[in-house]
Amino acid sequence: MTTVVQSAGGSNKGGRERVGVLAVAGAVVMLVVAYLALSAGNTDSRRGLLPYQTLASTLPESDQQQFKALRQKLLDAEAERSRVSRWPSAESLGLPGAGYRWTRFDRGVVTNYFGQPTDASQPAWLLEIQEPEPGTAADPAPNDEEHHRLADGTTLHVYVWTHRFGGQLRAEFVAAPQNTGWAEVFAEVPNPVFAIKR
Amino acid sequence: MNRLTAALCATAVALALTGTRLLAHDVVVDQVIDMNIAVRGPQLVVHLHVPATALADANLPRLPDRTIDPSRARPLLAGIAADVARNLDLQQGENRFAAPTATARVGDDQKSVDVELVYTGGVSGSVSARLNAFRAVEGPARTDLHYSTATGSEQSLTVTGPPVRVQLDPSTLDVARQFIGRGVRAVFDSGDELLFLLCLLLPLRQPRLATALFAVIAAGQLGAMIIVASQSPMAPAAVTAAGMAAASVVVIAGLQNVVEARPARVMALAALFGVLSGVSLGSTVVASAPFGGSHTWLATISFVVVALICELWLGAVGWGTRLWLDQRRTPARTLSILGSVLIAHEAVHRVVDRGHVLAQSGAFDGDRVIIWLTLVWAGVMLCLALVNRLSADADASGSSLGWGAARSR
Repeated sequence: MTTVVQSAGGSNKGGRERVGVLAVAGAVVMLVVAYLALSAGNTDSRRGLLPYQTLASTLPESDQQQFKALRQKLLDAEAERSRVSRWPSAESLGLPGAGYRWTRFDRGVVTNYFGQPTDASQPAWLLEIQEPEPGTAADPAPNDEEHHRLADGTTLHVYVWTHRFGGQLRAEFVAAPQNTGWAEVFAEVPNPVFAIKR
Repeated sequence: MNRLTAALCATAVALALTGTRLLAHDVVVDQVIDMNIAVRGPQLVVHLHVPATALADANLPRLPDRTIDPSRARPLLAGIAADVARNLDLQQGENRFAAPTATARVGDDQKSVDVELVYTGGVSGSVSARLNAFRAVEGPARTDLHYSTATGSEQSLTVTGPPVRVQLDPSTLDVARQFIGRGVRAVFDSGDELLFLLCLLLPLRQPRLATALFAVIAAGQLGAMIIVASQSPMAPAAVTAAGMAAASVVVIAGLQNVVEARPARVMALAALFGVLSGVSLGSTVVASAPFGGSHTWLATISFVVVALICELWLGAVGWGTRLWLDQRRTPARTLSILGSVLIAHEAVHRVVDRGHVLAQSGAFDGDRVIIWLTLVWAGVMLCLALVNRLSADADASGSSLGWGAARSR
């Protein structure tokens, strides 16, 4: 005599398990998305930054606008540098900020555009551009806020700095801004692999 | 040497090799900025008392005794007032207030500057300000704010760390959204809860026991949070000490996995962790509740419920992963010991890090806190060993009398 044993609801059980797995996966994804959404803009803004660095989003509204305008002008300066093989003068570049006096300073491979406010309580701004030393190996870092490339492939290190009470400063070449009260401003926390530590 | 002794020795050696050295630190003192914002009819009046040490970039001239030289500082005061107003960046909804009337004077103690900002044009919407925007040189800046609305309600809060925009007297929806985020971050950023839950779930446990362990942790946390929230705010050093003790509990949980402790003792440790972790979470609630303005209860409940849900989720994911590993026939004992050593290693670092924070706060001597913590745990282990020994003797004599003895793990 042959006995047929029927498995009780095999396909049903498999279906339930699939639904369960999908539900759990959905819950996990939903919670991760919720966490990321809630964390956006609320994370510790200093995480991943050096003591002299800051994020533009933590600056006053007017400074954020100035920072954006400066980054745009930086691209214009780079285009001009690629075209005529030298950095444009501060006057011809038309750097932003009403009530600012811009001066260009060069020392070796480093170019500074120094913006000094006429109002002593306003911040000073510094656009620092560093070309590679002749004969040094090319920096392999990809383009980001600190690494830009000219049309000929030359990698530049570029930095935007700000200093409170800019009217108290002397307009001159700034050799080590990080040691003299300047804050380097970023739009985003830099990638730690390619970040330039000074 | 039996297997248990060998496992204990191996764990002790692994932890000793991965430990870090204690370092001494100078005591750091906060540079406190007192700030009052009040709505007076159509005006919004802001008073700030700023220590000179929090005006590092202003280059205030000093006398030989390090106090401010009032006569030489006078020409700088208008610039300081304007800089403070610019950095405060007071907004009404999405719109910035028009430039205020800003005045400043050297404080009576000659070690500070008093700033007054008067905004005109009426206050009709939700006000927000960018707080703690000061660069201090002799310690981190801290802003203590007191806000009085037109209706007479008051809000007091403290901001430390980098400058942050804070909404004053926020709406119900804003408070719920803000504190759901704070609850999630409190659990995920701390990491203690994750480490402890992982440690508990490394040995494969029955669903009922796993649920009971979670319930014990949650009950401990809830109880501690209620007690902490109902008291006056705890000293930061006490909160750090509780966090340090919680991390040490994670180390002990790792050791319990290695020696395969009895469920009752794991349960007791879970309860202790729940209480210590609840102290940290509770103090976070107390510290952040003022950001909820007049909706303190909503803020607290949102935070607590979300924190517990996050932990439940972490536990569920951990338990599911452990089951999955078991189905893949991963060697349970090896996984438990290796995982426990790794978690205990991380927890030892946390204990030492928090010891450093305590040493910096100056409330305790960091070395002594760690020594006391170690002595307490050594004492607990000694007591347990003694109890085991006595109960084993009793069992042996019971057996000789024919009572029978069964020792369950």
